[in-house]
Amino acid sequence: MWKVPWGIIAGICAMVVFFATVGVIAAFVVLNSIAGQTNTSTTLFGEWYQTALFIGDVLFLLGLIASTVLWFVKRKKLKEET
Amino acid sequence: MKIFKRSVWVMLIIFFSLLFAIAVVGQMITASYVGWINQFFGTSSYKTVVEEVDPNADTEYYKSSAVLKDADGNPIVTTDADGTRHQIYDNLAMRSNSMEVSERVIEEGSVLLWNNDHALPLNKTDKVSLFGITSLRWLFSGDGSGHVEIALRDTFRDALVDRGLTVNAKLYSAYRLAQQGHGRATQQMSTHTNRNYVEFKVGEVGWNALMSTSQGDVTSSIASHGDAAIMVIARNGSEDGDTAFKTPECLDECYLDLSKEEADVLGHLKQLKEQKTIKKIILVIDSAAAMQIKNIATYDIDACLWVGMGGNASFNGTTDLLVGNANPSGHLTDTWVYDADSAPATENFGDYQYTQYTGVPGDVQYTNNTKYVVYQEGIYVGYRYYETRYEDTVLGGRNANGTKGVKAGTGNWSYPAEVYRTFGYGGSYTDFEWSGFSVKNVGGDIYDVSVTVKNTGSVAGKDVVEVFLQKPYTEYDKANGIEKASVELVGFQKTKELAPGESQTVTVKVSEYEFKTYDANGKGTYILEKGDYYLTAGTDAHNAVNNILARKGFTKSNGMDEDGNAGFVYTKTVAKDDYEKYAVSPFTGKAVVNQFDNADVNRYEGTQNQMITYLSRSDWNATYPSAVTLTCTDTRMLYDMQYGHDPVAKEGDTIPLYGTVTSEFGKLTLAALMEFEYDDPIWEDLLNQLTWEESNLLVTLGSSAIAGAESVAAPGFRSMDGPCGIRGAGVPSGLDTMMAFPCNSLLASTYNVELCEEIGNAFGMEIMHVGFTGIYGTGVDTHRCAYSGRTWEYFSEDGFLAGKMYSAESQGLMNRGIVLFSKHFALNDQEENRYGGCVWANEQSIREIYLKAFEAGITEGHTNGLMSSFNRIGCTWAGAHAGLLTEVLRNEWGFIGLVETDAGVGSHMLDGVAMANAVIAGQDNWMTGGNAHQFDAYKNNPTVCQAIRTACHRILYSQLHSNAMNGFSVNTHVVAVTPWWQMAIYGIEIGLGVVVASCFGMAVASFIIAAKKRRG
Repeated sequence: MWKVPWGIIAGICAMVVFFATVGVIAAFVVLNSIAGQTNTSTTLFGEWYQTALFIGDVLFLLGLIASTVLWFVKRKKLKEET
Repeated sequence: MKIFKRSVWVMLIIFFSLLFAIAVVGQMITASYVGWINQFFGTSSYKTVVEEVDPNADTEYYKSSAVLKDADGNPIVTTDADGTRHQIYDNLAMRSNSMEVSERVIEEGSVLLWNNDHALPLNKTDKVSLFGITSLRWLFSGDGSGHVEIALRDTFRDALVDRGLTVNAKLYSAYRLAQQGHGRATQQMSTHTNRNYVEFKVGEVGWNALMSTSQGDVTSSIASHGDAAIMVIARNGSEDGDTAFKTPECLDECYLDLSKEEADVLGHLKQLKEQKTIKKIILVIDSAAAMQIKNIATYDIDACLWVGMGGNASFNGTTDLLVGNANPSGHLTDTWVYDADSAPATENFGDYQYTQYTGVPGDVQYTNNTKYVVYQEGIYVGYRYYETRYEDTVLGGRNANGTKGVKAGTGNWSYPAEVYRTFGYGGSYTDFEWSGFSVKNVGGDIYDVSVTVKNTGSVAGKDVVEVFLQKPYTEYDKANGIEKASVELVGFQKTKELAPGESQTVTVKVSEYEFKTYDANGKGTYILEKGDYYLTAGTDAHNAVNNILARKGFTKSNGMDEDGNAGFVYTKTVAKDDYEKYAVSPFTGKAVVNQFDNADVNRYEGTQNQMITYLSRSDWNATYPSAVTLTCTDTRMLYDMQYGHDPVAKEGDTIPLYGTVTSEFGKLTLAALMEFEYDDPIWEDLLNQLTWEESNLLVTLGSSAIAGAESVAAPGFRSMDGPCGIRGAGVPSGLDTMMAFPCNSLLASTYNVELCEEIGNAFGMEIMHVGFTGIYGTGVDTHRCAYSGRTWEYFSEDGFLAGKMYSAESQGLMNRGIVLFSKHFALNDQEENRYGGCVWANEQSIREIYLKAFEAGITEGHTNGLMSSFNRIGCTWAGAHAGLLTEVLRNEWGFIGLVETDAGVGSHMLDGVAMANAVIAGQDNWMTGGNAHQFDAYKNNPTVCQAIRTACHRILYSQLHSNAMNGFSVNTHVVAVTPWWQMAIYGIEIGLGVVVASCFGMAVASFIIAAKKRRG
């Protein structure tokens, strides 16, 4: 477990979280503006891909938190060992 | 060094590269929505440059009449920095005019449905109780993209108090306490499977809820304000929100009937009236659509006033009518029936899906490819059905009194059991007497129909003379599937305000053009058949039928519900059939032939294996409609249901010139063509100057704007939603709210074309004062039945009336340089499944019912723009239907304006091939954000290129004759500029590019250092 590059995983998770969040917001804004042309509105989960993006966002956020914690733990452990 | 950690730089490269890619894609996407984003930020992609100003030139081609004036009453003229001169808009004067005209519309349009024992008008000293949540939460207009959100300082109650009435304050407080969660604010999103669909709640406060607020039981206050109980009820309607849904909230599960709470309140009021606690019950109906009357009629209501949706002026107009400051003179634009389902159109209204549709493009959010609706009732819409069936019950035979279509009555069909108030009916506080009916041919095909109207009552008022025509129903008709209504409106005229005892002779001009009939199955054109044509003046459609029946020798003893006046009928006998006179368009000289065979289930080769029976007066019972089931499996049908097919270049078409100056006068500007006709050859020179990219943008930029063009100094313009007020353009400076004008149903019920033009003028000023030119309106489709969500946006069930009003309003709007996108062309008469759903109808009904108003607006009103509809006509999207957009619209009617699409959201209208097909068919502009390379794939297809060029011609011609040209002279040029938000995107791209490059450099360095470390 301590050989796993948690820092890199945290970085990848952070990127995914960032872009997924941008995607969630962009999808909402774009779909809402389309709906606005007919004076209707949309939600954050109106389309399947909005839901998928949101779920992905949450999962990778959890991954980010977990990998960041593990990275800190690993770093601390390595410091203690050296 | 820690700064040279490889993994960090690799991740930063990935991160910023992705961000850079997003920025690049974002820049490309925003480039396609330039118009919309400019609209949002208030920016422009063009800058005008005035090279030389002629101080004497007046370049304010379209003026507002609400402008600041000096002490002598002369308009104050100011000069801009570039030297152009213009008047200064006076928003207060503009709004004052809008309100004054709107109030007159409410007063002249509201219909007194009944008024027992002169219950109305109220005495100005009356003490009244105000009921109904609508009295607090008024419905000023319907919902959807046309809804104008307004905020009024005063209330309906204030308006009543201002006119001297004492309004029950305790009861009003109880409503205020109980209003949470009630009224129009409770409109709900539907649970319907189609997500683009709204259903409504009424949200009335029930009696017990009203009596159990912290005000306690307010019955005693009602007793002390017992001169009248005024109950106000409202019904909404919306884009994407028909009212045909079943709701447990309402009696008969019908949204257009009373809600159970409304019935509860009216039931208590009836009891209070029986107990003499209150003297009378007045019902005010704030709804564009006709309500189902069967339950309303049972509550002993003394008077009922239909006030439509009056917009900002609702309170003043309505209360003036209630207290007699004004006398209602509105006449119905739709037939009011006991049961809304008694209209045969309701049998095929709503959600229908092909039972088999393998091979049809799938349904997506804004494209309902697998849905359809069949107009099986043919021409029998509104009064044309009820009055014709009534006549046939009197004439006998034809199974008119069969049981099919019986909804409110029992047993055999009977007119009085189904119809409460017919089309054209209108009550008044005074009485009128008609005399002196005469008809005179005044030359050509014009008849002057004259009637003398005398006010025999005690107050001043206006009346409406309506002229109806009956055409002969012949054996040829029966053999060829032609239907003839017993009466059709062919003329009308409102009197001036007649003082008691005063008379006026009203003359209505009727054209013999109205005598023609469309014969799709026989001659394939308009025909004039031999036989007797009856012209009569009537107070409404039913009165007209009775007059004609009287002329034919029928009386009450034959089953008529009232004797008619045979002396009010003129008979014109046509001696022989004429199949040529109307086979040629009087507007263009082009031959009139079938254009909608592909919309008629019985004539389209893809559906001829699924023949249907249209409603026919030859046998009412046997032909009464029922829900039509269709499949979509035929090879031809599946071919036509695709979004399009690669257009083949026509022989002889050539690629036009682009970006080339060919005029002998040098480079032309659009303003230089001000005095030239649409078809002048100089336009070819102007169009040669357009670049390919400009041509593409002109055609594809239509969302809230129309593009300009630098090469020809075309300014472009901004557009916004209508049709009964400009939505989303903000509140004009100095004012505190936007302006909602009376809805179109109310406008039409004035039967006053001059007033309608005044509304157009006032509306036009509201548009130009906020800097706009285009308006997505007015609404011209047909009230096929009471259930359309956009009844409030459309005028009437009758195309003749709608056409006259549309023409007049267009004239008023165009006086202010407004470009109308009159909607929705065509056959968008229900909201459900309108996105790409197929509408099937026969050609006679399409031409005589659904296109009639559009035809009048174009041939009489010379309106300058249309909005094509989302729906298909048959299998072909309306925006790509060449029969509609080119043959009928241009070749028969001579239309030279532009056709824009509805909102650019449907796959069937945005597919690349679909767009190429559509532009060839006559579609000029898409309501999208603009794409300078949309048609690049067809750059070598001369037919597509010529079609784009023709579209540009129409778009530029419309711009030229609009207020967008104000300030433009031949010396004014347009320069393309990059708005700040586009500059910002470029800046971000450059910044991110630099960051990515830096990260890349650092990553390389870190790898080198790491390698050195490993080696060393």
